[in-house]
Amino acid sequence: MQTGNTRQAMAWLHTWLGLLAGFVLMVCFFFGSLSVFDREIDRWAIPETRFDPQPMPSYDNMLKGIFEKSEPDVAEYNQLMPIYHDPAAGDMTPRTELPPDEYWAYTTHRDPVLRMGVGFRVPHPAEADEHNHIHGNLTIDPRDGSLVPDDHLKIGSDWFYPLHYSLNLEWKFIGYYIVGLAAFFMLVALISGIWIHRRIFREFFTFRPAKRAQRKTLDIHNMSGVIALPFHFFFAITGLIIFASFFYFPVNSTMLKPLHELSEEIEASHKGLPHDRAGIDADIASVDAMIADAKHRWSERGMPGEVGFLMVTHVGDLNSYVSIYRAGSDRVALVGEGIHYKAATGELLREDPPHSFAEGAAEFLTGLHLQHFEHWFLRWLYVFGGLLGCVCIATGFIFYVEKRKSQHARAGSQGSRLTDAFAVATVTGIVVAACAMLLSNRLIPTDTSGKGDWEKIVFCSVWGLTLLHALWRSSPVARAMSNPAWREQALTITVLAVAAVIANWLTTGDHLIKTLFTERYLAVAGTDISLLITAAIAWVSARKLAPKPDKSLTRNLSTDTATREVGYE
Amino acid sequence: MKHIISHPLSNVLAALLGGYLFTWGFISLAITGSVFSGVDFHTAEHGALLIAFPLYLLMFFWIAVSQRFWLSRAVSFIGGTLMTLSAWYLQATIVQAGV
Repeated sequence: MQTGNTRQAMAWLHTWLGLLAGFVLMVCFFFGSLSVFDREIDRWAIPETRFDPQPMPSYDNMLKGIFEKSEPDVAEYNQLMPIYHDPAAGDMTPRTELPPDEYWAYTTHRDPVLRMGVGFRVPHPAEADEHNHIHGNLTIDPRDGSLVPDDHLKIGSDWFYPLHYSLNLEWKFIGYYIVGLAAFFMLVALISGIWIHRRIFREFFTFRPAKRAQRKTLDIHNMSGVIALPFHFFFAITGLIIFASFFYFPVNSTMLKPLHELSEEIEASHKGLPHDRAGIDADIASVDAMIADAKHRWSERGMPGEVGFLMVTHVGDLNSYVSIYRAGSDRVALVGEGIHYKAATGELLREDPPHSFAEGAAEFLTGLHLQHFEHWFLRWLYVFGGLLGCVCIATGFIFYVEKRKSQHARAGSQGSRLTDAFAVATVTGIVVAACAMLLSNRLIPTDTSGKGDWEKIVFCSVWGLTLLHALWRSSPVARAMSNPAWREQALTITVLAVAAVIANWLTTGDHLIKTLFTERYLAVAGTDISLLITAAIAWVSARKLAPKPDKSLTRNLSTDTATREVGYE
Repeated sequence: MKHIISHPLSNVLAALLGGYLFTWGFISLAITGSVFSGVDFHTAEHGALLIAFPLYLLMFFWIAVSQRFWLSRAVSFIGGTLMTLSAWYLQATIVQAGV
C-alpha cells in the first residue's frame, strides 16, 4: 500500500477489512438490535413468566431461604473443581458441601423474574489468592419464590444477547476475540470509508433507484453508512471499551497484576470493606432493614429509587458485608450509588462517593451502550440504528459481488460465488435461524428435558443449513447471475415468522387482540408484531427478487418457454 | 524507502501487531505512571482504556498507509517495547515500596 496513494490504500482497507469483518458484524448488529428487547423476547419464549415487572422481593422472608438451599452447578463443579482444588490437601469437597461465599440478586425495570446467584468457595484451593468460585445461578418468580426451570432458555437474554458480543463461542473466549477484531476492523472500515468518500454530504442525499443494481446498492450502502455513522462508530468503540480490561487489553490481570492486587488491598482498607474473610462464623442481620435505610439515603440525596443489585460478600463470616445498589433505570450512566453495611450488625460501612471523571466517562459510555435506562423511544432508535447497520453491511456484500461477478465469470473464478453464498447465510440465514428457534420454542413441549438445548440445536442446525442451501444454489453467480437462495430464504423467513406467531397463539392463547387490547401485555405483542413485520418485509423482498421473464426470449420462444426463469438455472 | 513493495496483508498484520504493542505499552506506562503520581489504579485504568482504541486506530492507520515504511514500524515496535519495559520497571518500584 505504501507505493500507491493514501486513498487507494484506504479503499483497500475499506473493501477487504469491511468484507472480512462484515460476516461477524452482521451477527453483532442483528442480534445486538434484538438484545434491546431481550427481556421482552424472554417473556415470549417462557410463557409462565408473562407477568408485570416486580421490585426486589424481601431478602429476609424470601431470598435468604432460596440462597441457603441453592447448590453449585453440576457442570461447572465437574469442570472447575479439579482445577481449583489443591490435591495435597486431600479429597475434593463434595459439590453439595461447598460453602457459600457470595450471594447476589439482580433485577431491572423490565424483569418480571429475578436472577440470583451464589458463588461457592473451594475450601482447599490450589491458589489461595485467586477468586476460586464455583457458581450456582437460578431464576425465581419473585411473587412467590418459585423456581423458573433452568432448562427453559431465556432466548433473548441468554442466547441472542451473548451472541452479539461472544458469538456464543465460549472455548478460550474465542468468540469475544473474534468480535473484538471485527469491531476494530469496523472502525477501520468506517474511517477509511469516510476518507474514500470525499463527497460524503452529497452522497448522503444521493439515491438513484432507476440506475442498475450495483449503483443503487452503493447508494443505499453510502446512505445507511452515513446516516447512522455516529451510532455505528459509537457502538463499535464502546463495545470494545466494555471488554477492554477483560479481553482486549487485560493489563490488570496480566502484566500489571501485582500492582492491581496491591491497589485492591489499599482500596479495600480505605473503603473499610474487608478484602478477606476473618475466619470467624457470624449470622447476618436484617437485610430488609439495610435496604430500607439505603432507600432512605437515596431519597435524602434527591434520587429516590428501587434496588437493582444486591450482594452479600464473605457469606457467614464476621467480615461479611452487604452491598446495595440502586436500579439505574432513570439515567444513562451505569452507576449504582452503592451503600455497604456490615452484615453481622447492619452498621453502615460506606457510601460510594461520586466517581472520578475518567470512571464517570467510562460508566456513561458503557451505560449508553447497554441502555438500562427506561426510555422506550430511545430504545427503538437503538433498534433502527442497529438494523441500519445491517443494511449497510448487507449492501456492502451485494455491491462487492455485483461489482465483480461478471469479471469473475469471465475468468472462471469462484470468488463472487463463495462470497455471495456466505452473504446469503449471514444476511437472510441468521433471520431464518432466529425465526426457526422461536418457532421451535413454541413447538417443543414445555416438559421436554433439556428444552433449551434443543432450541440451541435448532438454531445452529438451521443456520448451518442456510449456508449449505446458499452454496448449493450458488452456481448462477459463477455465470454472473443471481443466487436464487436469496429469494428462497426470504420466503422461508415469511413462513417461519408467521408460523411462530400462530404457534404462540395456539400454545398459550396469547393472540394479538388479547395482548394488545383485552389483556394488554406489550412484551409479547411487540415480539409478535415484530415477527409479522419481518415476515412482511421478507415477503416484499422475495417478490422483488422474483425472476423476471426475459423479453427478448419472450418474443422468440414459444408460450411455454416464454416464462422460463432466465435469471436462474 | 518508497520503493519498497509490500503486500497489503503484511501491512495490515504489521499495523495490527505494531499498533497493539504500542498501545499496550502506552496504557501500561500511563497506568503505572499515574499510580506512581498518586492516582487511584482504577481511575488510571479507566482513563487509559478510554484512550486505548483511538490511539490503536491512529497507529494502525499510520503503519498501514504511511509512506514512511521503516519509521512507522520502528516507532510502534521499539516504542511499544520500551514503554512496556518502563511500565514493568515502574510497577516493580511501586510494589516494592508498597504504596
